[in-house]
Amino acid sequence: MIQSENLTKRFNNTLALDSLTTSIEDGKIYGLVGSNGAGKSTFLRLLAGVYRPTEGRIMINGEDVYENPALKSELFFIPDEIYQMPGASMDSLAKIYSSIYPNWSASRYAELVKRFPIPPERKLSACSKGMRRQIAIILGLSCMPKYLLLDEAFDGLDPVIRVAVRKIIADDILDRGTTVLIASHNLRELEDLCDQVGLLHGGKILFQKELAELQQDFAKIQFAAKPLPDKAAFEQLVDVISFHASGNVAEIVAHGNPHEVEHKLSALNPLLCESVPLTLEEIFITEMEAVGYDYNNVIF
Amino acid sequence: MTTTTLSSNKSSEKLFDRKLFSMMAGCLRQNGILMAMYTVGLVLITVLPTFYDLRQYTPTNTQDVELFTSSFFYAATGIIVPVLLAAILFHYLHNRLSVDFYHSMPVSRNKLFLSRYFAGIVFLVVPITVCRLICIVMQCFAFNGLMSVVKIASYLLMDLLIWIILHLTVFTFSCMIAVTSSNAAESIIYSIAINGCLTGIVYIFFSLANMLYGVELNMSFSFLSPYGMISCYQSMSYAQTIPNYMMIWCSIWALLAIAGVFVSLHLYHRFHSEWAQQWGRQSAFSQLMKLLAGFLTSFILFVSLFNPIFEDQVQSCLIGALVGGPLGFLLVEGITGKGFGNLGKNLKYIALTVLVCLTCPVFLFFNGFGIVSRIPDLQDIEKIELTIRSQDATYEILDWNNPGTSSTRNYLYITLSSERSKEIVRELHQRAIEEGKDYSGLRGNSLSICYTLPHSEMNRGYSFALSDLPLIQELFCQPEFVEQSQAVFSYTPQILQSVSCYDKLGTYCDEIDAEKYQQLLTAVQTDLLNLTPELLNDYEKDPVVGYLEWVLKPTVITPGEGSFIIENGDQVTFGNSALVIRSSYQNTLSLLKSWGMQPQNTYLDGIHTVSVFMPDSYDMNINLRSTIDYRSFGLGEKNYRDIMPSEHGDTVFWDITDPQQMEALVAACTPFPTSSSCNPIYIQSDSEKNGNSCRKMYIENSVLLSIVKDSQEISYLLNAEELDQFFKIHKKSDSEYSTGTLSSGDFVDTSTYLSVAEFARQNNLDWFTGKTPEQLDAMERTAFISPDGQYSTYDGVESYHW
Repeated sequence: MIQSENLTKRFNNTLALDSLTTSIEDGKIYGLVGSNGAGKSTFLRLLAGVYRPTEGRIMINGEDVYENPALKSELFFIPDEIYQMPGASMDSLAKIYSSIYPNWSASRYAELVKRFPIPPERKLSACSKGMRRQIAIILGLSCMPKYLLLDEAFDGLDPVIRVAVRKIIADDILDRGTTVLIASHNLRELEDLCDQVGLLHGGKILFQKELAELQQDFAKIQFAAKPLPDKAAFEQLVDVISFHASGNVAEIVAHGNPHEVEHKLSALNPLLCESVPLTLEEIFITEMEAVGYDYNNVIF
Repeated sequence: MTTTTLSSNKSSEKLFDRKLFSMMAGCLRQNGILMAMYTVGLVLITVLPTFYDLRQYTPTNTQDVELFTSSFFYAATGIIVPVLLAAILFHYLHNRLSVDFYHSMPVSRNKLFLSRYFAGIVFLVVPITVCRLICIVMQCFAFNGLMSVVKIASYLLMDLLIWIILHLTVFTFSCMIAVTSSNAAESIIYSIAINGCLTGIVYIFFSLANMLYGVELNMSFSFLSPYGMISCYQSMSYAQTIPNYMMIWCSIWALLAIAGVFVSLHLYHRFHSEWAQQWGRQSAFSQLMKLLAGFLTSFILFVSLFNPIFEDQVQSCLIGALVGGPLGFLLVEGITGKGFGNLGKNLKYIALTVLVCLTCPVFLFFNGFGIVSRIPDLQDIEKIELTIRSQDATYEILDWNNPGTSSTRNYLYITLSSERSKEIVRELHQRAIEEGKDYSGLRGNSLSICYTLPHSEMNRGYSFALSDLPLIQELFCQPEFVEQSQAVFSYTPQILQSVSCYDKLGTYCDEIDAEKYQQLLTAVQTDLLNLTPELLNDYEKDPVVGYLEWVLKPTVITPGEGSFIIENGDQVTFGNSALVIRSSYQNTLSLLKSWGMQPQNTYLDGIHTVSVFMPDSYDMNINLRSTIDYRSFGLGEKNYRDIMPSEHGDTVFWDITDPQQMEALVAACTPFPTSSSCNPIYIQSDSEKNGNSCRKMYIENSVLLSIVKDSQEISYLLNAEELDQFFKIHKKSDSEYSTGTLSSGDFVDTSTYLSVAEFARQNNLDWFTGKTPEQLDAMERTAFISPDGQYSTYDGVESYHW
C-alpha cells in the first residue's frame, strides 16, 4: 500500500505539496488528476524516490521510498518526458535495466518488443517522442514492477498503441496485481482505465474515490419547467454545485445520488427532469470551480 | 488483486556488488569514445615527442642521460581533463530528465556515485599508464648501457604515481563539486576554483603585500591546492629525483582525496534532484565562489590595468577592489545563472565581495598584525640571507641542471652574520618601510632579505631608493659581502684556464701566466677588501682603468651542497667573469706593472670619433654592481654605425672629434651608468691593432658638459633627472596633460613643440631660479609640450619617471 503522511515538498519558496496525507491500495489503477502545477508530477517523483520530502513521509508498505533500493526495485517510474541517454538504444537500455532490476524478465521484454513496432537496436535519438514513450513502457513493464508510476502515460502515443498499452496494463494488474499510478490531464483516458481517482489541488488531495462511487456522488440534471424556478428554489432542495439556465431549461450539477436528486427536484413540477451521466472531466471542472478555480478565465 | 510484501532493508545493501561493476562498465562504455580520444591525444603529446626526442638525443655517459617525463603535458591534462571528466560523468545531475532516470532506479546514491567515480579513475589512469609504459620501454632501449632498466623504470613509475595521485586528487575534488552543482558551467567553474583557490588566495595576498608594502612573504604556497601541487611538481620534474617533501605532500593530498570521496558521498546525499538544470541557484557555496571570482578579478585588474595607470599603488588596489570585485562576482553570476535575474538579491553579496577585496590592502595598510613594519631585534638575528638583484648585472653561474655548462643570472645570494652587516640591513629595512621615497633611477634593483631567527625565518623584499645608496655602499664593502659577491674569491689557480688583461676600452693587453694566478688572486682579493664605501661609486675619484677576464677550465663539474665541486673537491659558485680594475687597486696594478702590463695606459691610438647620445630607458638606472657583463668582450669588433640602430633607439647624437676632448672623455667615462644622469657615448676607433672597433661607455652628464662646454659641437639638453623635476611639478598641479614619448629627434624640435622655458613663461612658472646658464640654455632647446597638448619627452625620461 502506498501511503503519504503529511507529505510536504517545497521548491525554494514554492509549496508544491502541502501536508498531503493519503493512501492508495495495492492492485488498483489510480488516476491522479489536478490542474497544472497542482503537484501531480512532484507526488510521483516523491513516490519514485527522485525527490526527498521536505517534511512528512511517503511510504510503500510502511517503508520510506527515498534511498531505498530494495523498495525501488519494485517500482518503475515513467516521467512525462523521457530521458534520451546519449547513444543508447532500447536493447542497450534493456541491458542496463537487466543488471539493475532484480525482477527483470528477458522473456517479457522479448514478447513486448514483438508487440510494439520499434526496432530494439534503434538509437533513442532517432526515435520520435511517442516511440520513446513506447520504449519506456516496454522497458518498464519488463522490469516486472509491483508499482508502475506513469506521468502523462499516453502522451504522444497513437490510438492503436494506446489501446495496446491499456490492455497490457490491465493484464498486468490481473496477472500480477500491479498497482498503477497515472497522473494525467487526459481525463477521458483515465475514466476508461482507472479504478480510483484522486484530485490534487494546491498541494492537497481534494478527494479520492472509486470512479464508480464518484459518479454516484454527483448528479447532472436536465431540468425544464414553465416558468423556470430561480436558483434559490433549487438550492433549497439540493446541494447545487453549478447552475446554468437558458429560457425555461436549466442544467444543474449537484452533490448526491442522481436518482435522489432527480426525485427531490420533481417537487418543482418540472416538464422534464432527467439525470444524465457526468464525465470525469465534468466532475473535475465542477470540483475545481467549487474550490474557486475559475475556468471561465481559461476556457474560451 | 494481490498485495506484495516487499523485503527491503536500506542498510543491508551491499555496496561493492555485481550491480556496481556493471554500472561502472556501462559508464565506461558510454564514454568509451571519449576515453579512446583522450588516449590517442596523450599518445600524440607524450609518446610521439618522446620518440622524436630520443632519436635526436645521443648521450655519451650516464651524467648526460636525461629521462623524458613529458611533465608539461601531464600537468596541462591534470589541470583540465579531470575537471571536464567530473562534469561529464556527473552531468546527469545537471539535467532534469536524466536525474529522473538515474534517481528513480533502484540504486543507492553511494553506488551511483562510486560507479561513476571508479569509471573516472579508469578513464584517467589507464591512458597515462599506457603512455608511460610505452615511454619507459622506449627509454630503456634508448639508454641501454648508460642507465639500468631498474633505475629508469623506478624513476618513471614513481613519477607516474605522483601524476596519477595529482590527477585523481583534482578529479575527486571536481566530483565533489559536480555533485553539488546544478549545471555543467557551475561544475567546471567551481571545480577549477576549488582546485586552485587556496594557492590563488595566498598568492594574491603575498603579491599584494609585496607590491603595496614590499613585504615578501616567502612561505611556499604551492602545496595548498592540487593545482599548486601540479604546477610545483611540473617545475621540478627535470631534476630526475623526487624530493621527499613532494612525496609527503602527495601522500597528504592522496589522503585528502580519500577524505574527499566521503565528503562527496555526503554531499551527493544532500543533493536535491530538483536542483538539476537550475541556473542561478543561490547557495552559500555559490556565493562564496562568486566572491572568490570577485577577489581574483580585483587583483587581475589591479595588476594589469590600474597599477600601470595610477601612480599610487594603494589607490590602484582600492580601485581594483571597487571595480573588479563586483565585476568578477557578476561575471560568474552571469555565466552560472544565465543572466542577472538575482541581481537585486545579490547586492548585499556584491557589497560583501568588495569588502573582502578591500580586506587585504586595508589589513596590510594597518600593518597586518605587524607584518608590514616588523623588523627583528638585532640580538634575535642569527644570520641574514640577501638576494640582490641588479637590472642588467650579469653573473655567470654554473648550471645546476646541466652540470658542465653555464648560465647567467642578474642576482647575488649573500649570507651575512657580522654585527655591522646585520645593523646595515636592519637600517635598510627600516628605511624601506618608510613612505614617500624616490625610487627614480634605481628601477630594477631590489633587495630580498631573509632573517634567520631563533625559531623561524622572516622574508621581506624591497626596492632601493636613492637615499639608501650610502648604506648600500657600506654594505657592499663589508668583507663578508665582498667575499661572496666577487667571483675571484671563489677561484683557485687550479680551476682557471686563462686570465687576460684589458684596458678600459676593452683593448686586449696581455695574458697572465698560469703560475702567477695565485699571486694575482691574492692581490685582487686584497684590493677588493680594501675598497671603501666612499670610493665604491665615485668613479671620478677612483676611475676604472681596465679589466681582468677570468675563464674557467671546461671541466666536469658535479653539484655539491650550495656550490659545485670541480675536479679534486674545489668548490666554485661563479663561472667566467670580468673584473673591473680601478685606480685604487694598487696591489693589482703594481703586480701587473711588474709583469709589464699597464692597463691604465688606455690605448687611444686610432680613436677618431666619440658620439654622445641622449640616454634611453636602458641607460637610466644605476647598476649596483662591481663587475661587468663578461659577455661585453667581443663587442669591440663591430662598428658602432652598424650596431647603433639596435643598440640605441634614438638617432640624435653629436660627434666629438677634437682629440683633447676625446681623450678627456675617455678618461672620465665608465663602463656602466654611475648615476641616473649619464649619457651613453660610443668610442669608435680604427687602428692597425684592433681594426674598426666601437665601445659603449657612459659619462656623467655634468662631466660631459664640463669637457665640451667651450666647443660648439654639442648642444646640452636637459637630462632625465632635470626634466623629470619639471614633469613631476607640473603634472601634480595640472592633470589636463597626458604623457607621450617623442620619436627620435623630435625632442630637439622646438619649432613644433613648446620648449620647457617657453612653457614655463606661458604659464608663469618660476622654473628659472637657481639654474645654471647651461641649464637655462637647455630649457630653451628641450621640447616639452606637443602641439596637441601632451607632455612630450624622450624615452629615457619616461623610464626614469615610472
